[in-house]
Amino acid sequence: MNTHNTTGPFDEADAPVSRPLPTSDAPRRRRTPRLGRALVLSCAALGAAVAGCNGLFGGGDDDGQTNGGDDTGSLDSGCADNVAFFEANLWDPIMSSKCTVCHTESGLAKGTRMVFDTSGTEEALQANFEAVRDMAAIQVNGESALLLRPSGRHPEGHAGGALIPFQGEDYVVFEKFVNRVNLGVGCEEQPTACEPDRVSGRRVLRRMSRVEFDRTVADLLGVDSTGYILPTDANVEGFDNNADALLYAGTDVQLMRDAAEDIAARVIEAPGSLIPCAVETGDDACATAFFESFGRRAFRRPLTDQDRARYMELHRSVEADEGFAMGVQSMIAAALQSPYFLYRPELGAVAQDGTYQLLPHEIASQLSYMIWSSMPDDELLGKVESGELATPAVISAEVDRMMQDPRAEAGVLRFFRTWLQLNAKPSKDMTAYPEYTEAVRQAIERETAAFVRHLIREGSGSLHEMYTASYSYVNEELASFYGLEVPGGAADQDGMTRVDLTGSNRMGLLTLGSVLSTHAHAAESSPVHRGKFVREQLLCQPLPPPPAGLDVKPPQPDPTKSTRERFFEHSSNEACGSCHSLIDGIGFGFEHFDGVGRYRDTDDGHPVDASGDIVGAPSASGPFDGTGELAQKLAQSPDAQACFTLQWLRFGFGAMDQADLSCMAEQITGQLGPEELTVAGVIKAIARSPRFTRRLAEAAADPGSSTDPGGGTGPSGTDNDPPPTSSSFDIQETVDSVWDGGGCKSVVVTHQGDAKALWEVTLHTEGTPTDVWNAVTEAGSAGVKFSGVSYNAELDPGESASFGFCWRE
Amino acid sequence: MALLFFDEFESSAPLASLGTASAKPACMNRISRRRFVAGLGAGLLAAPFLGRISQLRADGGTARNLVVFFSPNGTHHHLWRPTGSGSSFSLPAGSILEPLAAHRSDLILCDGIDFKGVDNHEPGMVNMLTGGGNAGSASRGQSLDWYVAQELGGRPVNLGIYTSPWGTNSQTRMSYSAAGQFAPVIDEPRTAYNQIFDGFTGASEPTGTGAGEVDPKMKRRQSILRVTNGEMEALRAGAPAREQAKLDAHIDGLQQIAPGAGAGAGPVAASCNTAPAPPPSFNPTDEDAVPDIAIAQMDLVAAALACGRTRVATVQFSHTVSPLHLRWLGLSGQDHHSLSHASTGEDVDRFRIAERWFAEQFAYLLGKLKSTAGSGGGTLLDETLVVWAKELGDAPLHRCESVPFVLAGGGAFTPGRYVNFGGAPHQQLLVSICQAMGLGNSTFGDASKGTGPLDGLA
Repeated sequence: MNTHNTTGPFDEADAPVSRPLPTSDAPRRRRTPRLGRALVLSCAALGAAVAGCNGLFGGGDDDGQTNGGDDTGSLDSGCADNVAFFEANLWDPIMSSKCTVCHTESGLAKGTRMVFDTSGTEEALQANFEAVRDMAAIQVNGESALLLRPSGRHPEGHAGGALIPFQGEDYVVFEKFVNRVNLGVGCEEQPTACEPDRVSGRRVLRRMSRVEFDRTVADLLGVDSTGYILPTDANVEGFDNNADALLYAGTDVQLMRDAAEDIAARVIEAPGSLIPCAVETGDDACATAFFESFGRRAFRRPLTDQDRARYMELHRSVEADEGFAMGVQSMIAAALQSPYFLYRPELGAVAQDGTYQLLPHEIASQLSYMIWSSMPDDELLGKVESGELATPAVISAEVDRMMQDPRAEAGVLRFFRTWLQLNAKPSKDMTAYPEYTEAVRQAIERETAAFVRHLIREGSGSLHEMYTASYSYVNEELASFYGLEVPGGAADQDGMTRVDLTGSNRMGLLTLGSVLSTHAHAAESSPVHRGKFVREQLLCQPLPPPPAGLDVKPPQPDPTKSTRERFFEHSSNEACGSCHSLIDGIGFGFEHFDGVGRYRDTDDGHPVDASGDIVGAPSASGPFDGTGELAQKLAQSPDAQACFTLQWLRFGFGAMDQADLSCMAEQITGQLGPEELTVAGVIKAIARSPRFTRRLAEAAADPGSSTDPGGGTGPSGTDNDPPPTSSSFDIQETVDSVWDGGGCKSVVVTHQGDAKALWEVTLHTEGTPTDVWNAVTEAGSAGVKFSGVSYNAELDPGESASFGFCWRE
Repeated sequence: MALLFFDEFESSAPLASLGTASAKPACMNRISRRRFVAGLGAGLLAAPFLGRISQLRADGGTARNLVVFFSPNGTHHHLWRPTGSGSSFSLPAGSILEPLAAHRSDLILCDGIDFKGVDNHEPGMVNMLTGGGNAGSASRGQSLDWYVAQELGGRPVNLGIYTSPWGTNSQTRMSYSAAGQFAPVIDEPRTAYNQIFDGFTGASEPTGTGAGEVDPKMKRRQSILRVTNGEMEALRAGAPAREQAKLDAHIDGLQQIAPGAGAGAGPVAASCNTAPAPPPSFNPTDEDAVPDIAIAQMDLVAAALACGRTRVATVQFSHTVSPLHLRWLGLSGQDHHSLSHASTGEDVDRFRIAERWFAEQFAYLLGKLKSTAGSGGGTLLDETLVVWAKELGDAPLHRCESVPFVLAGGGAFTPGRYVNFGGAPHQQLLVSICQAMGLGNSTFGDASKGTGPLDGLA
């Protein structure tokens, strides 16, 4: 239960704007920083006046009418716990990281009406709440500016881009806030409390990503499928396994069919095939036996009688035309195109409390794809069939077992390559870097693999070791490329030998050749890329793109200056500096390493200055010199530790719901002791989390109708009856354009009544409506009747909807 | 299924989303039923009317095919703009468009067209062909290519060159098959060929198998498809609405590979007696292969149109914020994105050289269409409207004002002109293109930004 209900639901309507918070609210102030929390900008040094920025970031919205609450001076409507809701649902998980790069006193958006105080005090929270509430009250074309601006749908745009995707998870939270403060609607929903054992996450079907498909086919059939041209995976913030974004559409399906047919043929042709009899003498019993073992592994679950009947029928019908072998081949081809193979269900079965309990085989696949990027093995499937795989203890033990399996090395490496953005091959200018040969590039790839393997095998697997390890892996060629002595030890399976880095200026993950060469330009280093990499990937603080209207020209070559000097000058103007101080201050710390990852004392003849400064990352802020000190800072930073967990959560769940995942990341990281703060420890904690075995029902997980008070409590009656239509609508028509034989008109409908209603207007049009947007029509004797569509049909009192149409005479 | 499919995406993200093509669940309450009706309404309302117009216009000598050609990262207007105006313009020596000189009389160079209320890379990419539409728009949130193809009763062929090293997201895609849903793009020519010409036997023989003999492979495929369809429906029945939408996209794809679904989109030109020879296979993420892949893809577009496999195609060169290094031009030091943002120094000239290469590719496409016979007696270019689109105007400033468009062919507009449209919304250009294709829609995308056709284009 929350503790904020000591006051009545509407008592704050009369409260002064700057009322003190109820005393019961005091404990909820967190003392530990929430992940991704405020980038406290130290851009003040750049001067108070950012001339020119106000032109870019004009106040806007001034011509919109406000539509908030009452007229008595309090703009606040309804809900008693609006501030708590703001803090827990908007500020901590979303706005404190996504909005504070620009919307601060020294940020680029300082000239707008939303300027946040990032000091973290009670007063700051209250002031930030009020600024956001005021923005919510501004109506533009019938929608709240708080919804239009950050989703990039405002008529004047949003200089920071579409940071809150329209109707995405964060957007739904913003919508709830707007309804609370403007209308007093939705008060019954408690602020999201970040507490242990909270179930979160939706029930999903997860399409296998490409690498998962390849590894699954290899484990299932022993066939290498990496050479096929298959559908491209959606890329969501670098992740290739996002549950919502991955699907097969249109021509994708044909690619999957062609690959499935080809793989099936290769299985049948291969010597020592999986068929438990000679194909010349194959019969029904043999086909049945084959499917019994193959089907269970292909579908990653116990087979049903319907499965058996369906596949045997297919087998028999093909066998009749083309013989036994082709019958079996068809079963394989069909299974490889089956949704039971291509999608991993995380659907579960409804439990007594209304949540969904995931089924054992669903949990098994979650484990195997998180750790191995492939299907469960026989042992895991056995635990599914025996029903053992249900308790956190068994799941934990299974994680331990699976981490010992060689497949975990490839699986964990995939996470590292995704997280560190190493999947694309760096393109280098061979004139600038003739020594960066293909052999060196491949050795650099193997260095990362060997480093990760060692970390989780022989090493402690700890985050500290990951950042500060004094070893790496080289072969002879790479050692000479890096300028290291060739080590004497035994080489691993890839020909890489462990090298002691003590005294070499290299250390841990930050100086892996792959990280340094990927986050660099083709012909030079890049303080910007490297700073952005640390900020976004290692600290989980996303940055907006450079706003339109700034000349973003990259630094030009100048032999009289070092890279650092050129980059510093390029962003030293005030408009660029307010963001680049967050980026370049970190990136300059990497200047001892060139664009292909080699250590250097001089940069084109200029002595290297690798002093750096982190600003706006509470637990990591401050000056440092070089990557060694940066690594020490990151290793000890709770922000960086929680970020590592958050990245694993995104990877493991294939999700990006910031509010829930950052809450989980904080919980999990906070609960792990220093000795558990390891790769395996984080994975195990995720596997023990409630979300791993339970999911929310749809309505609670993502209410589609957030304007609906729900539960029959609203003024519109029960869920089954639509609200009444009403004739009390004000109509404003504007002719947008007219041409010979036609024209277009837009209409704003404003609800004048005093209860929620569905709008409907009848207009006499000058011809047949040919295009209608945001409305549906019905012709009648009195004219054409227009009514709303899903998202604008229902209007609250005072609310407006816009629609339009064109006509032809 | 199609209507249900449409409904599922009816409330999905408009295109400004950051990377995810998310569909919102249709909740099982009153809103959901209204949403369903609305989806039906919007679709049915427009369809019969448009169908009629389409038939009328098809006889009126307007464009039969549409090709959208894309190259990324905006432009430098001073290097792009011709001199002069109207029909008396010239392409200065060394300028970006100079490689198009041989086609001067076929071109309409469009200046002064803005993406209203939109700036920057990703929003520009999203808005370029959708006009910022959503499921409630007359254009259903689809991109121009998908909307036109679907109104004409088919689907576009979406071919790419180096579009996928970053995977699929709203920076790397320009084609949307539905609101918020990225259409697959094929970067590998041999794979594209197999898809386009699957089951095609040439002009000499009607498509589809003859009566009597049944190909066992086809029969087998049909049996497997029956199994897959049953499994899809069974899985769909127990899934939440949002996941059902995912499966519906898959089911739609299964319908496309069903026997008989591969029939062509129109008459086959005399130039296509038999299926063309397949192109070689390429590594689609090899920068050095880009020039060869580009030629192969453009040849495939011409062949697909000539053979009546589609009436709408796209050729997408990389994507906004392109990481492509045009190494074959000696531009291996900076990627195209970095070059595009230079406003001083040698990189400006490198960008000019890169842009001229894209102009050469566009010239190649026009030449290919001109040298291929169409189905109506003239050349393929005579009956094909070709549009070179970009997602940004001024590259260093990240602005979507004066986004340069080049039109050619198709016969719908008076060619041989350089026109400044004085800040017209690009939604009007999209409407004009639809109307040139015989469609009757008067808006495209976000109608609040602009309606009706582009004044001065026809």
